[in-house]
Amino acid sequence: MTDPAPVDVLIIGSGAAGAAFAWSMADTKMNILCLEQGDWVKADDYPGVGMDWEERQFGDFGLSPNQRGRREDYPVNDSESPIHASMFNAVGGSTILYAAHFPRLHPSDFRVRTLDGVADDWPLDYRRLEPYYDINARMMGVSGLAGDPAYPPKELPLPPLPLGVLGERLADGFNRLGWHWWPSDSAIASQDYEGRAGCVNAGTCLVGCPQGAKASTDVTYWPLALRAGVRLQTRCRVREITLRDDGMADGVIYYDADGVERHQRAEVVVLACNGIGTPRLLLNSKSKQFPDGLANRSGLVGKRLMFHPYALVRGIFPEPLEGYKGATGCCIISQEFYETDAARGFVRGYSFEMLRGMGTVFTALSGMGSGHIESGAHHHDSYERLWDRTAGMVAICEDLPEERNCITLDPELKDSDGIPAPKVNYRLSDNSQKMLAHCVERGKEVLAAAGATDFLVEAPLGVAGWHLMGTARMGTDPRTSVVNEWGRCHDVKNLFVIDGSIFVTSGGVNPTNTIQALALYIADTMKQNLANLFD
Amino acid sequence: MDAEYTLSDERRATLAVVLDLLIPPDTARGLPGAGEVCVDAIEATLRSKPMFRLTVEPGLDWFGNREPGTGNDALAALQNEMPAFVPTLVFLTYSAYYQQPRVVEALGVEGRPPHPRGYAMEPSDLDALLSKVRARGRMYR
Ligand SMILES: Cc1cc2nc3c(=O)[nH]c(=O)nc-3n(C[C@H](O)[C@H](O)[C@H](O)COP(=O)(O)OP(=O)(O)OC[C@H]3O[C@@H](n4cnc5c(N)ncnc54)[C@H](O)[C@@H]3O)c2cc1C
Ligand code: SF4
Repeated sequence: MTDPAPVDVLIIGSGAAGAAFAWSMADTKMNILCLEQGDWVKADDYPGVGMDWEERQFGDFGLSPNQRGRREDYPVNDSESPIHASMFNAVGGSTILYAAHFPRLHPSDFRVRTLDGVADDWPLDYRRLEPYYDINARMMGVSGLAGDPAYPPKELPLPPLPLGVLGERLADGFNRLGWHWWPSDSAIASQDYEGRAGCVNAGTCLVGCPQGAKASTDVTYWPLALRAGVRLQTRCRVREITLRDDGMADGVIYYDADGVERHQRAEVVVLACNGIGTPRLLLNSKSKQFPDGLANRSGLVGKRLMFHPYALVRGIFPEPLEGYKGATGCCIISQEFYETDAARGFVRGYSFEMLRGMGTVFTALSGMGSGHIESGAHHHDSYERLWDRTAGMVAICEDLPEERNCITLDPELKDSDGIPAPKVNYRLSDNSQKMLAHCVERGKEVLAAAGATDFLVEAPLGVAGWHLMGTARMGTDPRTSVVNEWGRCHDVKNLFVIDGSIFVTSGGVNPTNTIQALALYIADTMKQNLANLFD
Repeated sequence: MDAEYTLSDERRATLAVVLDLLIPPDTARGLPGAGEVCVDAIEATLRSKPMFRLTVEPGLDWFGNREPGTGNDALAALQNEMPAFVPTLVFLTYSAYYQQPRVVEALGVEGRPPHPRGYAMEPSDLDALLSKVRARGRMYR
């Protein structure tokens, strides 16, 4: 079988970053191809259209690729991490499962060394990314409310999602304490938008949105990118990036949908496989020129993994809250504890993201786990005390980069194509542990102010390895960073990284809006520099 | 997956009894017992996920052969003798029971999948709720 014809730009991964980048590059009319190991998810395939939607979170729509074990998933050895990897492999990537809570980083997040003397400043700032956040808001269809005092002014195209009984109750708790809160910026269309139907408050977001209201990139960027001529090939899993003799990337070797090995040549290779998949590919692309993995002369590929340690704090309330209604993770945010306050005993800070209540099955299972629900004669009484009476939040703690927290290649574990699987080594820092302890106490305090009488806590939240950052960091110095300030590898000048791997620090907010703003910014910078892209 | 797998009549009958021990009927609340609504669902899970058979089948056989009392006493005996069986069956039972339309309706939610109809929600008076927060002024640096 012959190898496919060479392309100008080859993108690997069709998730949040790959889709935004592909759409932006489409207007160059170059020959652009994206290879994606997963497939399209059809609206009818989503669990939310069936009564078993909660149960399927333990099966084919589980958060962990290890649990799902589909052909398109690769296993991740996360046995040496208290936080386990969560992701999805499909057109749209992990945005298929994400909660679509869509805050931006703050201006201070780009200057942590200057402001707080920790980690490093980014080689770009908030103002540089701001126009790309704005484009992304329009392209993804972000709902929210202008005027949040925690941010510089920003315009969002859609009004906020409803707070509901539960949201108002929690808002009241924050108001009683005089703490900041605001309706969340949400990548969910609160009303019909650009051909997408508005949210119907069905609450199944974490197993996908059959309505198309949630901005997974298969329903936002991809239809436009494809119409503009970008090609997307599904069920194609890339094994390694190949090199020319002059040290420039030559293309990739991948396995197509039938498992046949192919060599796709390209002028430019762009990695968008997320903070685990990207270092995995680089580390698996060894050569004489790069014996420790491609673009790894700094030794930092795979290192400085940041997750955002999460605390889950739920309160039990005396009366029903209609918590099964509404987008799962998009209600209100609080950034009362976002900025550093030395008196707290840790640096940097966190956001609180309010969660809706649990469905009927999750109420039972989590109550079983916490001991609040018993089996037997008193089952229904104990269930009634919990059902529709829980509300709470996750705290998203800033994770500071440390080299010991890393992705390597597992010496034994492999995916279904025989490609080495990634291994996660991760430990919580003292700073993170202090921050987690703080947010658990503050979480309980605000829930109590809102009327909660009992609490359910998990910190760190084990399943919350869904923000994958830092494993191919950007910077201006090739000795201490993998890519430059616009995503180009210092060591291989036609190889770009555009996903969360390039984050310098993590901030204390969900990363996807920033991942996409960066992808759009990198695409724009490439377009402006086409004539001397590899200089 | 073993498409032919079924529970024997004896095991089905025992399963119904054990399920009612875990979640008994509650007529006042309009809730069926798990024995009435979950036997088929659990059999289907055992069919599609054979690993659960390893703990569920021996537990059912132990119970079927002994009939160890009634109510919570029987549950306690089962827990003592077959410690892996009870949590596995509780997991399967809760998952199956709380997705039955009759059960969900008795809890006050319409007995249908969440999509496509979803749920109506009222808008909030955000101006009133947010007045305190707005009054704080700029918080970012
Ligand atoms: C349950 C959950 C909830 C989340 N909630 C939020 C939230 O509320 N807000 C937020 O900001 N973020 C959230 N996230 C995180 C968010 O989904 C990610 O930040 C985002 O999707 C990352 O984008 P990405 O393009 O870097 O990677 P991904 O979206 O993960 O896409 C990477 C793609 O690359 C493909 N790929 C990888 N390796 C290969 C290979 N070798 N060959 C071919 N294809 C490959 C994968 O199949 C995948 O489709 C959540 C994630 C999860 C799992
Ligand atoms: S609540 Fe809204 S965004 Fe979430 S799955 Fe339902 S329609 Fe989609």
